[in-house]
Amino acid sequence: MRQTTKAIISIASIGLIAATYKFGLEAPAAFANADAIAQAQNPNQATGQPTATPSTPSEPGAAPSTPVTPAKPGTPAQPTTKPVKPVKPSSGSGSTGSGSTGSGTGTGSTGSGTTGGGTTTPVEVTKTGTSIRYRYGTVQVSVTKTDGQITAVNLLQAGATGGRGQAFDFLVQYTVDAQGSSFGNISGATYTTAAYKQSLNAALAQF
Amino acid sequence: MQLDRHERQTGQAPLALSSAPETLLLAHPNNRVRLGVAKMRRIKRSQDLVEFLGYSTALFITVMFLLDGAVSQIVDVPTALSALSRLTALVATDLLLIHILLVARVPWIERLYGHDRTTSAHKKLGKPILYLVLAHFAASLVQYAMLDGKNLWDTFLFLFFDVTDMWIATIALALMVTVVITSINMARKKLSYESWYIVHLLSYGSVMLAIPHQFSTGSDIAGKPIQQTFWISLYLFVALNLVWYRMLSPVVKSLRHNLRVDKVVRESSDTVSVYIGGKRLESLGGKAGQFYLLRIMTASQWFRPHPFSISAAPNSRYVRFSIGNRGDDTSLMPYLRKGTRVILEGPYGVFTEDRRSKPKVTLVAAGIGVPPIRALAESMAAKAGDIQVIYRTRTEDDAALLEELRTVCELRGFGLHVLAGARGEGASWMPAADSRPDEQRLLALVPDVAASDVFICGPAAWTRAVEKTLRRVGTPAENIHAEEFAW
Repeated sequence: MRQTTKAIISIASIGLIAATYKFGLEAPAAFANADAIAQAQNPNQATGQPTATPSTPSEPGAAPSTPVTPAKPGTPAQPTTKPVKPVKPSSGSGSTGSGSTGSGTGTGSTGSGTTGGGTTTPVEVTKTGTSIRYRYGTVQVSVTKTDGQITAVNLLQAGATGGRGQAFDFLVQYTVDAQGSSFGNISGATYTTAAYKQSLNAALAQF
Repeated sequence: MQLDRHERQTGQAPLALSSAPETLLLAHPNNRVRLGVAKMRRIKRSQDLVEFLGYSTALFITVMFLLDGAVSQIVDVPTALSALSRLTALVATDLLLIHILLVARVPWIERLYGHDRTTSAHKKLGKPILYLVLAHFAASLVQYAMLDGKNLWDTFLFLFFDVTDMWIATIALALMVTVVITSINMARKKLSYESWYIVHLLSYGSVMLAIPHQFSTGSDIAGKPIQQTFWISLYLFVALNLVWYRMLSPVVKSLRHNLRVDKVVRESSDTVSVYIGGKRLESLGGKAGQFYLLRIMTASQWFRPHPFSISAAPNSRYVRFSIGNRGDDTSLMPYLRKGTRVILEGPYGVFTEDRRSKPKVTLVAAGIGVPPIRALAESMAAKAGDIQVIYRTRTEDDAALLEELRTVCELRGFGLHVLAGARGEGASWMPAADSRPDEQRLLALVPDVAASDVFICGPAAWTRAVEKTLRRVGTPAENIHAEEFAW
C-alpha cells in the first residue's frame, strides 16, 4: 500500500474504532440499567432469583445486542394468545415447577380459537424435552410451537446454583429469537447452556 | 543411454540436436503496450484497493465486536479472557480466509502482485494465524477453568464433550497445528514436497471443521444476523474463488482447447522444447514472460504440476515450454509422447510488459532462465537498438534457444551479448574472463542501462548479484523486474 493511502486509512480506522468503542461502552449500559431496574422492582426477591442478579461479573456477556420480541411479524394475529413470556420457577438445585405460558396452552394440548370467522386459527403444540441432570442441577424444558413457530419455552425444571440461573432468561429469549437451538454460548453459564440445549433439542426433535 | 531406452519404448528415433530451426515464425511485436508512469500508478491504485478490501474485513469484525459492547463487559480476568478469546478467533478466521484466497490463484490478485509475492504472503501469514488460534483456544480454556474452579484438563474435557460442536473444532485445531509444523519442516527441507503437499490438503479439512462451532456457539456470530451474513458471504466468496480458479477453471480451459503434446524438440544437451498444440490457442490468453503450471496427464505425473515459462510469445499454433533437465520429473520431458493430454494452470506471473514503463529495455538471462527472456524479446515492440539482450551461459555451443535469440535480435535490430564461460570471482555474475568489476563491464555492454527497464531471469543468487550491480549503476528499483525459476 502506498504511504498516503496507508496514512488516510489508518487515521480513518482509528476514528472508526474509537467511535465504535465508545458506542459499545454505552450501548450495553442500557442492559445494565435494565438489570438494575429489575432489581429495584423486585427488591424482596432472593438473590438466587434469575432475573435480578446482575452481580455475577461474567453475565453481562449474555446481554443480547438487540431487544427481541417473541412474536414474529409473520405469525397470524393472535387475539387469544398474547406474546408468551415464560415464567420460571425459583431456581435452585433440582427444583421443579411448571411454567405458565399464554392462555390456551398446556402440555401436549392443542389450543383452538373457535371464534375465527372462516380464518384458520393458530394451532399450538407443546412438547416436553428430557430432564437433563448436570453439575449445577437439573434442566427440563417444554417447547410450544404456534403454527410451526416457537412461541414459548417453559422451564419445567431450572436448576442452577451460583447465579447461573439468570442465564435461563436469555436462553429462552435466544431460543425464540433463533427459532431453535443455534445460538451462542452464554459466557459464564456454559454448562447451563449445554444442558438447556440438550433438553431443548430433545423437545424439538418430537415435533 | 536414456535415449536408447526411449527408442525402445516408443519406436521413435531419439531427438536429434537441432541446429537453427528451419523457419522460425515470429509473433508480431505487441505495439499496444503503453509505456510511462501512469500505468504503474494505475497498478498501485488497484493494489491499494485490494489491500484495503482485505483490511476492511478485519476492520469490520473489530467494529462489530466493539459495537457489541465486548470491551465494557470486561470486569475481571475471566471476562477479559473471554473478550480476548473472541477477538483472536475473529481476527484469526478472517486472516485464514485471506490466507486461503492468496493461494487460490485468483486472476485479480495474481495480475497485481505476481505468483511469487502472493505465495510468500501466504507463507508469512501461516504462523501468526496459528498463534492467534492457539491464543483463542488457551483463553477460552483458562476462562472456563477459572469460572468453574476446575483444573484445565477437566475443563478441556467438558468443552470437548459437552459443548456443541467443540470436539470438531478441537480436531480442526489439531489439524492446523500439524499443517503448520509440516510446512516449517518443509521449509527446512526435512520433508519431501509430496508428503508436505498431502498433509497440506488437511488444511481444507481444518478450515471446514472449525466452521460449526463458529456458527453454533460463537458469541460474535451465532444469533446475530449481520455477522452471520458477513461471515457466510466471506466463506462463500473464498470457497467459490478457490474452487473455480484453482480447481475447475484450468481443467475446463485445457479440455476446451484440447491441449496435448504436439512435439518435443531438443534445444541443447540438457534442454528440450515441449510444444503443446490445441484448438483456438490464440484465445488461451497469456503474455510473453508468463508461466503455466504444466500438469502432464499420465498415470505417474498427473498429480505433480511444475511451473514452466513459455519460451515463445503466445500464438495460434502452439504453447511452447523449454525445459532443462534438472534430474527430477524434468528428466522425463524428452520422452513425452505426441498426443499426451496436458492441463495448463495459468498463465501466472507479472514478469511481462505490464511492468515495462520505458522505451529502452535490457533483457538478462542466465542458463535455463532464458525461456521468458526469449519470449519477451519476440513480443516487445521497440526501435532498433532500444532492446539489449544479455545471455549468460556456460558454453556458447550448448546454449538453449541461442540461435532463436540471434534470429530475433537480427530481425528486429536488438543487441545480443552472449557471456559465455566459467563462473567469475566471488559475487560476480559475469564470466571470469575479465578482471574489471561487473558494473564497468555491464556499462560497456549496455551504456544506458540506468535509463532502461531491466528484466532478469536466472537462479536466485545470480539474480541478486545482477540486481546489486544494476542498483550500483543507477537503475531505479521499480525498473528492475526479476523472475526466479527456482522456487
